[in-house]
Order: sequence, then C-alpha cells, then structure tokens
Amino acid sequence: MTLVSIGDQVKEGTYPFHSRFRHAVNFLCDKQLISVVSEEIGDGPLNIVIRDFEGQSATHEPAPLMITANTVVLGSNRFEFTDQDYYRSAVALDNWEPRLFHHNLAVLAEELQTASSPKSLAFLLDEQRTTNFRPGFERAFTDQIRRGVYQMMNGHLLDGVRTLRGCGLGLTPSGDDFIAGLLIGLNLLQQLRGQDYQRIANDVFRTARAGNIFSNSFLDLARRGLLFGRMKDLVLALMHESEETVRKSAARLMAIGGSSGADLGTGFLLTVRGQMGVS
Amino acid sequence: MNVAGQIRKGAYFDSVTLMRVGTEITALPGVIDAAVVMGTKSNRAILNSSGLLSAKFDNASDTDLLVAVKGETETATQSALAAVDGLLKKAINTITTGGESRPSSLAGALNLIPGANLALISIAGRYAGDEAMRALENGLHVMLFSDNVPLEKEIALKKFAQRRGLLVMGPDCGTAIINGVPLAFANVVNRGNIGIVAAAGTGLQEVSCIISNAGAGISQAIGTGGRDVKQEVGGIMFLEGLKALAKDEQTRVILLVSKPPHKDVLRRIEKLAKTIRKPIVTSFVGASTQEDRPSTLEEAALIAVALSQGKPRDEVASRLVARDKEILRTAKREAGKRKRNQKYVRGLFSGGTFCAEAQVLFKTLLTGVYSNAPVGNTKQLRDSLVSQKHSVIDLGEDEFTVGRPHPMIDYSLRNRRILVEAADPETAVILLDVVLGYGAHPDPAAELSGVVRQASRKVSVVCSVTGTNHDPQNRGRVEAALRKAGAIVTPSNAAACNLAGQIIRYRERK
Repeated sequence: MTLVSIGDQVKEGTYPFHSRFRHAVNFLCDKQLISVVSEEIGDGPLNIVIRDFEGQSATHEPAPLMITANTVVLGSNRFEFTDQDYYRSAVALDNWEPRLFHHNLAVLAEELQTASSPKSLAFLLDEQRTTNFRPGFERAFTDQIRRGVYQMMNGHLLDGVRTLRGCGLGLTPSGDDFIAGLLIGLNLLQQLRGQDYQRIANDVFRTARAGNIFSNSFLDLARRGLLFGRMKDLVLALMHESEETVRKSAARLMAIGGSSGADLGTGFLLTVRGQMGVS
Repeated sequence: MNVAGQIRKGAYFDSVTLMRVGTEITALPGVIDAAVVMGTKSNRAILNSSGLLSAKFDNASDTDLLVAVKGETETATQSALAAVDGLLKKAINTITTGGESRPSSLAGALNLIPGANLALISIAGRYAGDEAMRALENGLHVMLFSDNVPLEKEIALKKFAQRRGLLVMGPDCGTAIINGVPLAFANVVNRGNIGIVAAAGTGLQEVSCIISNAGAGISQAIGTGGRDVKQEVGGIMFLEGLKALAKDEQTRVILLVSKPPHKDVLRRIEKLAKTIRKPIVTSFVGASTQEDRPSTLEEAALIAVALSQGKPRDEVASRLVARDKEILRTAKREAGKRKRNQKYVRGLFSGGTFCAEAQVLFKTLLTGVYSNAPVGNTKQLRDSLVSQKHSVIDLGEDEFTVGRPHPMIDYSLRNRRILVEAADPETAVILLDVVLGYGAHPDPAAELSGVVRQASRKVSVVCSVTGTNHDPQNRGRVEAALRKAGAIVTPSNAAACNLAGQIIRYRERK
C-alpha cells in the first residue's frame, strides 16, 4: 500500500476507530472525522487516500490512526508524506467565461436528469422521475423534499433547510446532501458575483447541523468552500472545460454512494442557477 | 395490516448497503412497504406520514438506524424484521468475502470471472460504445442494451467483432436467449431446436413465446438491434447470427424476424440463406407479402414449430383460418355493444414491433390510420399525445421515454392514456400489448386491471399477452386477471389486431 494524498484539513493527532465501509475506514476525535479511503473514493479535505486499500475486508477493529507532521500510522503501516502530497480542497476561480459556464450547467442538468440513480433528488429537475419512487415511504419522502425546496425557492431558506435536514435514504440522508450542494453552490456564487454569502452559509450550516457526524462533517466543509476531489473536478470542468469533460466529471460525481453525489449535484445546480432564493 | 420496527444503535452502513437492504425487505413476501433510514426527526416524520412509524422510534437519535416494516399480516412483518440481520450481514459479508464483489470496471469483472465470454452493457449510450470495444478486445461477445450509440461506433464495433468471430447484439438490443439463458428483457421458454435471429426485440419475444407455448423450444435467440438491417450497418450481425445458427448443432430450424431490411441487406440475407440446408422461416414485418412468406409473427412462429416437428407448414394456415372464424364471431358480438358514434381503434403499444405489425394488419382492414411511428402508408400523428381517427401509438418511442422508465416497466403513462381514450366518445376499441418476462413489470395484472375495468364499461378492450406460464408474472394468471377485468385476451398480437380491426369493420357496416 502507498499513500496517494492527504487532505489539507487533516490535523495532527490520534484518532480512535469509528466505523468501516467497503472503501473507507473512519476515525473520529473531537468531532473531527478522518477517513482512510481507497483511490476509488479519492481525494477529500479530510481523506487520506491509500493505493490498494481495502476498507471493509479486515475483520478486526483497527488501531487508532496517528498523524504527525509528516507521517500517517495505520496499524502496522507507516506512510510518510510531504507538502506535495496534500490535496488542496479550495477552488480558486479565475478567467471564467459566463457563456461556457451556463452552457455547461445545462449539460450537468441533462446528466442529472438522464443518468443519475432513479432514487436521487433529480426528480426536482424532471417531475417524471417521481415514478421511480414507490408509493408509501418513498413518495412521502419526495413530498417532503418538494416542500422544503419550495420553501427555499420562495424566500424561506432556513425553513426549507429545517424541512430537508436529515430527510431521506442513506447514511448521509438525501436532504443533507442537497444542503451540502447548496452550500457549495453558495460558495461558488460568492466567488463569481463578488458578494458575501458567508453569513447565509453559516446560518444554513447551523440550521442543518444535527446528530449525524458524517453529514455534519460534510456540511461544514461545504460551508467553508472545501471540496472533495470529484466535486472540485466538476466545478473546474463547469468553468473551463468541454462538454465531454463535464459529462465525465458529472458521471464520477453521480457514482458516489447510492444517490449522494446526484443529490449534492442537484442542490448545487439549483443554487448556482439562482433558483434557491439567494440574491 | 401490521406495522413494526427495529432500532439499531451505533450501526453504520454505507448508503448503497442501506438502499439495497431497503429494497430487499420490500420484496419479501407479505411486505407492503419498508424503510431503512437514519433516525432523524425528518425521517420519523416521513415514517409517520407513510404509516410506518413505530412507537419504538420515539426516542431514536439521528445516528440510530431505523428499520420499519408494514406487512399484510403480523407474521409477514415479523418475518421481514427477522430477515434484516441476515440481509445486513449478507451485504457486509459479500463484500468482505468477495462472494458478490462489485467490480467497478471490465478489468475488475474479468478478474472475478476469468471464464466470462459475454458482456451485457447497459450504460449511457455515449459511453457504451467504448466499453463494448473494450469487451471485444478482451475476446467477449457483447450484448449492448444501451441505445444512443452513434452509428459510426456501431459499424466499427460490428466490423471489429466480425473479424474476431464475435457477436455484437445491439445497440438497443433489449432481448436475447443464449444457451437457454434469458438476457435482459426475455422470457422463460422451452429449450428446443428453433434458432432465432431478430432485429426486433418484442418480435423476438413474441415468436419465442408462441413457439414455447406451442410445445416446441428455442436453441438460441440472437438479437441484433433494429439498426443492424439498415443500409448503413448492412446487416453485419444479422448475417453473422444466421451463420452461427447454421453451424449450431442444436438448431434444426431457423426463424428470422425484423422490420423490412434494406433491399441490399435483404439480398445478402437471401443469398446466404440459399447456402444453408436448414429450413428458414422469415418474418419481415411490413415487407410486401409473398405467397410463401408468413404474414404475421404468429404465423411465422407456428410454421417454425411445424417444421421443427416434421409437420407440413400448410397446416398452420388452415389452423389460423379456423381461429380467425372465431375472431369474427367475437368481433360481431363486440361491435353490437358499441354506440353509434364509436368508430375508432386506439392501439397503445409498449413494443415497437407490435405497433408496426398492427399498422401492417390494419392496412387491409381500415382506412385513416395514424401513428407516432408510422410504417408504410400510415400517416404521422400531428401530436403523439392526441389521437386522430384510428391511432396506433408506440409508447416506447423517445418522446415518451426520455427521463422515465420504459412502458414495459412503468405502466403509469399508458394507464392514463387508456382512460383518456376510453373517455373519447368516438373510441370503439382499445388495443394493448402486455409483455411479460424478466425485466418487465412484476405485476402487470395489478397495474392494468383497474383501468381495464373502467375502460371496458365504455369500449372493447383487446389485449395480447406475450409470455409463458414460466415467466415470473405467469402468463395464465395475467390472462385470467385481465379477462376478469373485462378485457378480451388473445394469444398473439396478430390475433388482437385482427379482432380490433374486425370490430371496427362490423361497426362500419352497421
């Protein structure tokens, strides 16, 4: 195994084991969640990417994760790293072309509508997708989401956040992923318009934050404009790249989780298109 | 009805696992609805509004995992909850032991199954061509379910495959049966000695089911995708499929199914067919009829059956003539029930081949036929959503399927249209195809019965059911349910179209 990258928000310390998934092992200390992940998951502000890492194949609980100024110690494995191994999670935008950007947003919308998981929030972009949800819990869930988004679009942003937070399927519920996308979108709008949306973002985060540490971690990073690798690639593709690259980046985003990537993408898209009542 | 729940504290599973387990629980016998969700306040509110909230959840926290089940009976509910542990463990263990590893690439999949010789590809069309080429380069045959693969790519794939002695079934190939294994949308049919090459997906399903229901069986059913027999592609895979069946020892009779190939392609097919010793039956829906060629898919299938059993093909024609007399009797009876201004047939098809066959058959029976996918002299509908005179609609066309599941899976659009057409005072007959098999809706009878019952109060509802009793949906049960709802059910699309057309003709004579 070799270390591929370490997120720029990873701080020195000892992190006890928290949980394990198929491509990730999570460690938690003082509400900071660090994930050791395979290349399949990729870069993130709080990710340590290890080549040939197998998250869930181990049967024993791993020893705590130890991080110093230039080493990561994971059980019997020791990885050294330098400044060059850091993954820089902020996106600096320059020389963007509005027409290209808006064209690429339409491409992203198309990808979400045609290629995202049937149970993603892309039904907010294409009403016909609601037929993918079974009657009962799933349809009640889509009603709740619609209610929350309607509130947001009509000037009641925080009410909408309250309606969406913790709502839906998945370890990070769909509503939380949507809000994370909104926060990322706000950060992008801030840079594009030169307006200060940080207070709104902070309010959204405080309202959305609840007991789910995964969601909280994700939301906090989004609030601060710190992006995981696939999202950063998508934002840069939207600003500068061809339609083909946007489609590929969108596909990589939508491959995250059951529908998490697509849910985040939907929240991001609606925000950046100015539909979330943020002027 | 019974609702029960479980709380799992400190249980962390990734999203894919949770969604998968939720789906599996809902599919358990006697389960009406289920949810596996984090215990947030929002989710508890949704559980409440969908009738899934258990009192156990009152003190759940955001990080608790809630399992909620609504079952037909308490036994069903408790059984489902008892299965949750196993489902969660299976989801984890299959990952840790590699029992059901999920490779994320072709290379990964080949590592897992080194002996694989076929790749079934179903991803967005713009990526599918490259993946198909990768599969071919690795020596695999390809079934390309994806559509929207560029024409140049299709040609390149097929030429490459041809040089390597491999098959490319598709693009837009929805069905095949290879060595007895149904692929994608396919039916459970008998194995036997009739081999099929088809550039028409529902055409393949129709003939393979009729063959199986008649007591014969299928050796191989090779789909090629509809574009294969057009001039540009030149019938590359159609011809390769025909050659493969000619060599296949289990195949004694060959059946070819397609919409009319381009004349150059037809010439190549005929030239190749002359070199093959096995009897070949062709059904090119919409081609000009020749005396020795069957006029319907049903007739072609039955001829293939007769030949496979060493019987003369003539007996099929006489059997169908006798059956058609019965159809006329039924048509006369139905025509008598309709009001004076009820004069049109409205065909609502999930299968494109059936829509085409309907138009061909209506050519001799009716005048003023419109379609959103016209064949021959049929006129183009101005608006696919609004019928004109006699209308036959292919609900599988793009305008109906962009962003939504295919009508063979999702009946909601067609159901709405059935009621619209039934409410039209000029509609006399609604004509439907119901296609069973893997990939199709698991309970079409439940989906359709309500609207058929409603519609049949005003119009004649004529349904063909394509399937076998071994299909997951069970053809016999579906037919019985549709009859109970008031539909007239026929064993083939051709019979249904004939009946619908004859009802109108009797109406016109009144």
